[in-house]
Amino acid sequence: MARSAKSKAPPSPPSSGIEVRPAWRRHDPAIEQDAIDFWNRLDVLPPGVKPEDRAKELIAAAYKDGRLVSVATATIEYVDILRARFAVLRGATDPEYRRSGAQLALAVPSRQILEEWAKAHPEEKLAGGIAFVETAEWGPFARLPVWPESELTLIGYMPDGRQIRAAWFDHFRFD
Amino acid sequence: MPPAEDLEIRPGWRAGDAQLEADAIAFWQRLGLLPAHVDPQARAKEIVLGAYREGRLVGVMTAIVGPLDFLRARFAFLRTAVDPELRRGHAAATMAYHARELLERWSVEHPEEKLAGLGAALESRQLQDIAKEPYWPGTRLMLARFLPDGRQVRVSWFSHYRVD
Repeated sequence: MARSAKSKAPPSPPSSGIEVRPAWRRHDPAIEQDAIDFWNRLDVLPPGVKPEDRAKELIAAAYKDGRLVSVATATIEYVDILRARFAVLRGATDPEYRRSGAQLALAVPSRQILEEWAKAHPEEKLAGGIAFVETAEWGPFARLPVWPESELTLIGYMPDGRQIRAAWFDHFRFD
Repeated sequence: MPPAEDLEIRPGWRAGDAQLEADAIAFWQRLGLLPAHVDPQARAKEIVLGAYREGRLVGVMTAIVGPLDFLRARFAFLRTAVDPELRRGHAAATMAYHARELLERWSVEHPEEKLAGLGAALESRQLQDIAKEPYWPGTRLMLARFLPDGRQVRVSWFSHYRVD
């Protein structure tokens, strides 16, 4: 998965004490319930989004001392400007753990999980991951055109100013 | 793709290399590569590098620097001309690899230019096969979007560059 030639920036060291649990299409009731409790406790889901539905979109969850502190989720959608199907990535982190590296710890495993799944399900034609990034939330990190951990690369801006970042899976080819 | 080891790469970007420029003009004229409205002298000022084999110029890479509005940054757009005899020799890939290194180094040395990376809009039918691959490791050109007419826009950000 790693393309060392793509960026000269070294990857961040593993976040200590963070355990990442894969969840993509596993229907793991324990992780799903932890995620539902997490979203309800922090009240971070947009209006109209049911936690039970969002739980089916879990890619992975990060735990610290047995407590869920960060989640990565995705929906698969066709992206017009790239003419391919992408995993639209979302994330949420407990504010108490914003600087713990929990969200960063999810970046590489999330990509690996989705890429392996895409390879195992070629009929899905999943080409990569895409994220819509609030620059204010990411600070100096948002100034990096290529994020070394996830390889998410700046490919444009939304009208509201959010960055559009995408990473193609290595195995993907257009028909 | 392995580099074409029989090529000697001669850097030319903003170097004012009169010999390289003269060789390039003769090369373009010999092969009839430049459209009638293009001034060879002006095009020669855009040379990034030349590729020589056995002392003879067999490939020229030029670039123009301009904004990519959807990325809010300035990129160098490469043009490549290779002697038809060499097209099977990976010459273009070798030249693109060296061009990236050269332009990135120049960008680091000239931060006032705010050159963010390389850009390319794929037009050639010869690229149809490799266009299926959304990321090219050699030049690190990544498919960033399709234009309405179907052309691919590819970009490769320089590692040192930071978004404003």
